[in-house]
Amino acid sequence: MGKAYYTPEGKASRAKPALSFFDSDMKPRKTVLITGATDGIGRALAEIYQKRGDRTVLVGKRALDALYGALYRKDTYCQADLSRSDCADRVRAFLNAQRIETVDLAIQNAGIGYFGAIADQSAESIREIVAVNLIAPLRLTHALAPHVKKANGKHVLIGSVAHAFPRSDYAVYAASKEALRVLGRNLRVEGDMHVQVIHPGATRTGMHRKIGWDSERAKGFPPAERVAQKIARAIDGRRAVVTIGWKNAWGRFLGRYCEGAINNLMRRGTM
Amino acid sequence: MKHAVITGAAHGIGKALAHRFVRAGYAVTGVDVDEPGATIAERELDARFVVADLRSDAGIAHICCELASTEAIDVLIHNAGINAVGRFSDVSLEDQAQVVAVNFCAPMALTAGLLNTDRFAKGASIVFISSLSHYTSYPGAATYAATKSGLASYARSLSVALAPQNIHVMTVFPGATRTAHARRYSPNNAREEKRMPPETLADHVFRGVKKRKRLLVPGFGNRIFAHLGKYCPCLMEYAMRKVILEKL
Ligand SMILES: NC(=O)c1ccc[n+]([C@@H]2O[C@H](COP(=O)([O-])OP(=O)(O)OC[C@H]3O[C@@H](n4cnc5c(N)ncnc54)[C@H](OP(=O)(O)O)[C@@H]3O)[C@@H](O)[C@H]2O)c1
Ligand SMILES: NC(=O)c1ccc[n+]([C@@H]2O[C@H](COP(=O)([O-])OP(=O)(O)OC[C@H]3O[C@@H](n4cnc5c(N)ncnc54)[C@H](OP(=O)(O)O)[C@@H]3O)[C@@H](O)[C@H]2O)c1
Repeated sequence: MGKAYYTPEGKASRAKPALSFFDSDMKPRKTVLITGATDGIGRALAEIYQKRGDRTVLVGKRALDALYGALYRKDTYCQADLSRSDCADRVRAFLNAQRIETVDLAIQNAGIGYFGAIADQSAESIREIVAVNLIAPLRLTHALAPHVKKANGKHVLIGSVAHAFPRSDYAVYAASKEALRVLGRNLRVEGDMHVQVIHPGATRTGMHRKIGWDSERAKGFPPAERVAQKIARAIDGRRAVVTIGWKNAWGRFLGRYCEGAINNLMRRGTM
Repeated sequence: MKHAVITGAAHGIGKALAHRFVRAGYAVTGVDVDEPGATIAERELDARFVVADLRSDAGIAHICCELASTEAIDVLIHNAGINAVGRFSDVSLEDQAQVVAVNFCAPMALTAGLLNTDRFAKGASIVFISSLSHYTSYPGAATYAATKSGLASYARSLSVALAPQNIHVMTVFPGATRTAHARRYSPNNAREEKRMPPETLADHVFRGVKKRKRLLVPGFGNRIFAHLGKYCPCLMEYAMRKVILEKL
């Protein structure tokens, strides 16, 4: 597959951008930053990019000592709690300390959820979900924009197909993913950065256990490694919005364009 | 007497809504941060005001506490909203975080808090003021647009979740409305008279509540925009870029 580069106007072109590591004879070494890289899809993505020989910057909230495996080292792992307002400063400080000036891919993958009745969710829980799923991507996209621009790279936002349907048991999560989707769309329309939004469907990760959702059904979901492979392939491509898996793509289409009918069915409890 | 609670009721659309519901015989409780503004509106409207900052959990808790002892709520309108305009990379992050707090977190936290303490009357309505940007995109206000679409998504989930309790949920997608908010955030106010008067919008919302509509795009022109945005998104994105972004 030929490589496509984005020009500042947002159009893909086959010509190599002037500023690029690809020009030398050396093996191309991209810098890939992934948030929420300590578990699930983020961890699987980190493995993919590390195998490709890219330089990875992995962001997570756990301490380095608590992490196992060759992925996480002093020079690859940045500890930052994305629910806090200083998260972008921490990431920026890490990049400075590692003398990283360019980021080819900034993959904003970290996400948390809540499962339960709307009335039972506390204000703190709502704020935390919005902080990690929406405000952290805002902060990091803002903070990393110069690094990504320098590399002529792109920002990747990991959404979810959850946004396309009414979700009475995880309304705030779905709303945060819808907000992220629209953030991506508007940034794209503004046109001064390359933003891709990727919507995975249900995936077998620790997320369901973390939010207290009965994980029996989750056993039937595709594993994080397979979903991460598809996400990486989508990132190699140039489509601005990608849904992972054709069933999810259809679901998202129906959820958006047959909104009224679906809402009515769900209201009656027939769906 | 029926009871309506309206956030951001000291100015603009919120004030027009408060007037409309008072005129229809509702007891209105307004919520606002602006204390002098609230005092003036209180007198003008013969309504009760709770002065609270929707950005903080303490503010939300204060509102819930104040509403704990009033009569049950028949209509709750999440209207308060702020914006931060400019290209994404030019707008300060703190301003954007505030936009998220007021437009997105506050309505969700307030709704959950009031549901939790069972403050809604039988057959109540919960109204969310989103924005036409949900359909058309809004370059130059990316965070604002994100919060308004997120809010619409939450309302959609809520409408399904509360259907068994017969609580009605309506989302309103207003286009440009002639308020201080619009004047503050628009690149060009030369055609201000073209914007919908807030009183007209309030009429639409009031009728929507009565008819128990679920989605409301007020005004014929806005409805055309919404359809174009939904079915020809690229066209609208191009148009919005020309109309708004390039004038910033
Ligand atoms: N799983 C699904 O079915 C599914 C479906 C659609 C979309 N998604 C989306 O895909 C993304 C990844 O989900 P996943 O299933 O891989 O979830 P996961 O296994 O729970 O992984 C989430 C990652 O984010 C990290 N994280 C959470 N809160 C953080 C914080 N405050 N600061 C820093 N890092 C934080 C987690 O750290 P810890 O390891 O310390 O918890 C973990 O590394 C999320 O955005 C999710 O919404 C998931
Ligand atoms: N005007 C338009 O063209 C337009 C179009 C689409 C949607 N909308 C939406 O309609 C809603 C009302 O807009 P508007 O034009 O009437 O705006 P506005 O004139 O600025 O009024 C908003 C009101 O909310 C209050 N408020 C702001 N932050 C608050 C906080 N943290 N806690 C409590 N109250 C707070 C404001 O008080 P202060 O004055 O003290 O800040 C003000 O009284 C907003 O949600 C807006 O996004 C407006």
